[in-house]
Amino acid sequence: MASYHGRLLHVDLSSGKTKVEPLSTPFLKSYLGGVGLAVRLLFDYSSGGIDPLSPENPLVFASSAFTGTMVPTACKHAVASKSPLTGFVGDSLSSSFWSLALKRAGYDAMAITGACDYLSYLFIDDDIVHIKKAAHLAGKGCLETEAAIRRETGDDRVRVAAIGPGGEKGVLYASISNDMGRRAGRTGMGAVMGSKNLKAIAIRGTGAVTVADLEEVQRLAERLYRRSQETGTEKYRILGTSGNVLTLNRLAALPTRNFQQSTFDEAESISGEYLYSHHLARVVACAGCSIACEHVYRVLEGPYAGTHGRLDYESLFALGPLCGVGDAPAVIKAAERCDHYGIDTISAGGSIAWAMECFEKGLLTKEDTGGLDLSFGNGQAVVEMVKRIGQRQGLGDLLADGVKRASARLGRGSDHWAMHAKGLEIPGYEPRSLKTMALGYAVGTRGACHNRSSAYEIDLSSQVDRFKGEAGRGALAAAQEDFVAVMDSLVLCKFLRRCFDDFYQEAANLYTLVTGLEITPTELRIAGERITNLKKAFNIREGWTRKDDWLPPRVFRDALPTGVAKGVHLTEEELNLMIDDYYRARGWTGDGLIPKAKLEELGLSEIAQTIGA
Amino acid sequence: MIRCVIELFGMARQLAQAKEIELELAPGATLMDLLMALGRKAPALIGRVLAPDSRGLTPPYSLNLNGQAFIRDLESQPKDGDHILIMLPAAGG
Repeated sequence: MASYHGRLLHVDLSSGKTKVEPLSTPFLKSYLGGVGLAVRLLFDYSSGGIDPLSPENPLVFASSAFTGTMVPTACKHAVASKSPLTGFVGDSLSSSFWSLALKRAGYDAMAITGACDYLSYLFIDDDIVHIKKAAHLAGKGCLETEAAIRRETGDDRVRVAAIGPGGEKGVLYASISNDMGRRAGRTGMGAVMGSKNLKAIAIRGTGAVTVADLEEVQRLAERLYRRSQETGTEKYRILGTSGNVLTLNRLAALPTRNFQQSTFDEAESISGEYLYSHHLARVVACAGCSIACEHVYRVLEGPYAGTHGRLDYESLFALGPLCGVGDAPAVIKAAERCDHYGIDTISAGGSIAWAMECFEKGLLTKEDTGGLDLSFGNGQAVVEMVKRIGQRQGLGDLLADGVKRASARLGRGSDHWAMHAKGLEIPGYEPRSLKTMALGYAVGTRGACHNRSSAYEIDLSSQVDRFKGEAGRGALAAAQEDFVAVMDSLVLCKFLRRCFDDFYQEAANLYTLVTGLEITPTELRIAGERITNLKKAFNIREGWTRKDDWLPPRVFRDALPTGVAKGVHLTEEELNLMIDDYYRARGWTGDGLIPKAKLEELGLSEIAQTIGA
Repeated sequence: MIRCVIELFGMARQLAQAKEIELELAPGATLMDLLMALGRKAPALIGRVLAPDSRGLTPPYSLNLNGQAFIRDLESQPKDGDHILIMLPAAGG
């Protein structure tokens, strides 16, 4: 077996003990790596019903077969834990040099259990693991923390993943940052890390990563590299995903003012085209990436002069149109603050937008906001609220728990506009005008997620009528989920997806050549189905029922008022039809449970006995 | 004659240096005719957004009709006043 090490590092922070456990070849091949491996280890190292912020909740990091090889865009790692935001499976991806360091240190995965008695950081120096005191890092931002630890070690090869003040204070959507701007953003993995009193994980990995067939891997990697430089990725390389703003706005699919609308009058001033012309500072690539999509924007004048913020579409939509803000400098500043505090931009923007609607409806007053005018469109208020969320200060303390909990506490009908599924705030693809995406949000195992679903691709093609929720969407959505699960487990960046003629054929071949483990295209596709079912099994163990696969009242009761989607809403009948269709396509029961036979068919027999219906 | 408006986004807009381009077409013209006319009016798009012969789009660009449906059939005929959107699929991010 090449590339894989067959080793799991288990660190128990409570006892301070570490051990290396073997990972067998069949096990690694079944789950591939990345999200698949991380979630399987999470399942095995935990039991149902644990408090996500307790020492019993494991925090798992997983590398992959392709990380550290010459396969482009593969320097990634997954993080998995029980999400404190949703209470269901939390999984997140990040990339760049830290991912490489983990692999080079000689581990396919790392499981962290227990909690430190005081703020600490881990330093994994190949085979030697140190638990170091981190009191001097308390309260430091993510980037400051990384820089401080790298200075302390005095070695550029050391790479650091860190939480910011948001993670220390238990913001339920706190993220884990690495390499000065990459982050495992969603589902609150940073809060789990903070609950363990773990400020950072530094790794120095000096080992080699092998491949089985060097010559063929090199040939195919070069071909992928060349294809990743063609028109299929041009958008990411030049405008970045911020280019989505005007496209989605025109299609009336740009969530605006807390999903009250799906077109934004100020879209031009917050667009990728505008940012490119007026604010672009540089474009950065992750380690091993041939595309380079990360756009860093700067503000040269005005109250936010000196700001440098990284913006992708989701951060831009959440801190911009979702909050009614068309002021690019304010959005760049808000994004920079999210990075500093280490909090998920989508959940932060979604929570602020919910609060803005509460303010405009009089449910929150200036007394509640500490004097802040929390009207839609007030960019300065968004910037300030990010800080208050990161510090859990004033209203920020309520919003730090996400819209589901915030609306439950505030009451007065505010759940109507608490835009989440399973507690995860809805990303920037309007479900009423992208109805397959609506299905994807509702059934997604980590909550409302465009990334783990990719169902919007179906809506934005000529395959379906995006304004109708119809039979047949279930199979399409399921196929997308399984495809994404494979990409997230190999791991390959999703921006590479249009660089294949036949993804399963080419990816299976590449996996075989890299690892020396034969896998067919069909086996690879089944691995994706296995991983998606495993995530569902985790949720069932946590008490999932069909009622958790749903969307907020606004989606059903409020028709979109503007643009080409004027008058459109989703009906409960449409969503139920699509959910039924999806469960059938998955081979699940009408209640969405997984039959024992299905779990056994997927090689999840040991889970079948306890979870299977 | 029929008039159609081509709406451009992202790189297409940067290359053409225009958000919209208005075209006049003969009655019965197809979308392929429209793209060829666009290539004559905005040659900077050829090879990057339009296919080298302008008889189609360079993948993964797609056509959308009036913000509603995505269209693959280049033999279909636009109507007077139609807006044809040329866009990259939204993804990410």
